[in-house]
Amino acid sequence: MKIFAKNKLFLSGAVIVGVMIVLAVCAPFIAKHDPNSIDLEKALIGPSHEHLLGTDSLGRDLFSRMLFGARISLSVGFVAVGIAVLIGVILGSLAGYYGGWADGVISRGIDIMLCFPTFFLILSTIAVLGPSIWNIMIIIGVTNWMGVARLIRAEILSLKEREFVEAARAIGASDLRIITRHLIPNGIGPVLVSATLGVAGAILLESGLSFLGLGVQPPSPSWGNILTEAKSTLGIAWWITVFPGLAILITVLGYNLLGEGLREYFNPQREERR
Amino acid sequence: MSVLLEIKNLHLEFPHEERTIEALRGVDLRVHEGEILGLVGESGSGKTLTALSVTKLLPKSARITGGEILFDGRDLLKTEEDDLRKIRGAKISYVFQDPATSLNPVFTIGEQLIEGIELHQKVKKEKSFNIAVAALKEVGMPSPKDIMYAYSHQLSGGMKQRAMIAMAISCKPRLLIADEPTTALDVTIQAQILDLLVSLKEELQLTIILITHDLSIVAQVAEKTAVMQEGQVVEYGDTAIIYRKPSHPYTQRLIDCIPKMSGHRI
Repeated sequence: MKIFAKNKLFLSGAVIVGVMIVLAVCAPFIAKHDPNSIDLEKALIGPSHEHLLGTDSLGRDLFSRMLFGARISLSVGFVAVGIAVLIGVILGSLAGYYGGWADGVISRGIDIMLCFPTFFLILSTIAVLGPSIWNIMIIIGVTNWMGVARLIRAEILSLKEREFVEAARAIGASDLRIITRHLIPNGIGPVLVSATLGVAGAILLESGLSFLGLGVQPPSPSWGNILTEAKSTLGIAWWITVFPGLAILITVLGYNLLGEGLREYFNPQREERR
Repeated sequence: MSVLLEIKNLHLEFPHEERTIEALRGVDLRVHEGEILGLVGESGSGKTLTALSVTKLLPKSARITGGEILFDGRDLLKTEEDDLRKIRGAKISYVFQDPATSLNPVFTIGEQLIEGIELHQKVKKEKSFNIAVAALKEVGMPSPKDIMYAYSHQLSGGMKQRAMIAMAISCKPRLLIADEPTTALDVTIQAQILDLLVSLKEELQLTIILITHDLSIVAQVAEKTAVMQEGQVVEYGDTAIIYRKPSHPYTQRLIDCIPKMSGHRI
């Protein structure tokens, strides 16, 4: 833990992400207004004491909407990346450990998935299945596991030749046990780094989808769909565009810092890490 | 003494598209209960492959094409993988050459010891912890309880090898196969580890196959010696007799490799 405290990248990333998570979790207690209550008389008021970040074209409090939007954006990031890591680690470790035809099939599968332009794949799938937050999480997860799979495959390819794997077999451990107990814990470092960076990507992806109207459906707020609604009033109400944009920027930055910090921690050239 | 392990006419090859490499060409070996057998030979003579064949821990590309391996009267070559797994570590255990890489760097010594114990003995967590501590004590580890919580990089080479041996004996196996257990260690530690193997043999009635390329090690500890060359056992018998009157020219050359205290200096 001391090592983490010394790592400035990791620390600043952790603080940013931590604050965002606390804000999202405590949204109902922090928000002074109902994020969906419409008050047309108070439409498009700039930032003030009553409305910290101003109101939108329907008179809804922007700060409250952004707090609740954070819940959606952050949870999409977590769940989508969780799904991607799960698929990637399972397939990647099978490919790396067994090699042969299993590796062939999985690696070609990865190549095929990488050939699709991901964003359009997501767009067309959502167009068919309909936009809901669960669909978005699942689809982002299912289309982003390839990087993780390649990472863990490469790690396991080199780890399985190490002698401790042979030693584990010599005490009678099964293949499943060797993969889950000995190989994955040794090779998970780079995956954690890429997963952290992946959360940032997933948040951006969800914002993009919501901006195009295929993400979280109004009136439920998400950072992306607040931006969509803001574009019609961009000339007269700058705050509706700037603040959600800043929120996305800061969160993505936070996750990237966290990822870079972790990368530094797992860097093999650092000797005191273990 | 009864025969614990008998290898009969073992053939092993690595099939390749153009030509097949014959690594073992009819290995015959007998190990009696409670003895130390020294298995010597140069690199590539098939010592390690013979040892790994016993519980089929072989590389994927290897094929056993003939022979029998009888352990306690049971042919291990005809035994299913699931049953072999119950034998590995429980009845036949291994100690490998380099203790630094044989220990998993992300788990404590204790976790790795307990893993082996829980794979073969149905005991509670507390009990397996105690068995692990007892095994560490058995191999002469100082303050075994602290070692349980140590990671492999915190131990010296000799202590790591002691930990590996503790892991190997924690389930009270009948046969211990030590594959060059002292090669990666310096000379004083080598002597300690050899002494440890001898005392374990006596206390636990362990049978040991000691693989090495160093005939002087075998001469110190082993009752029987088998010399391997090019995938065959070329000489087998009592260590003392082989050492004094080698019948095979290869054995004579191996003996000549041991540096002597007398003779002219270079």
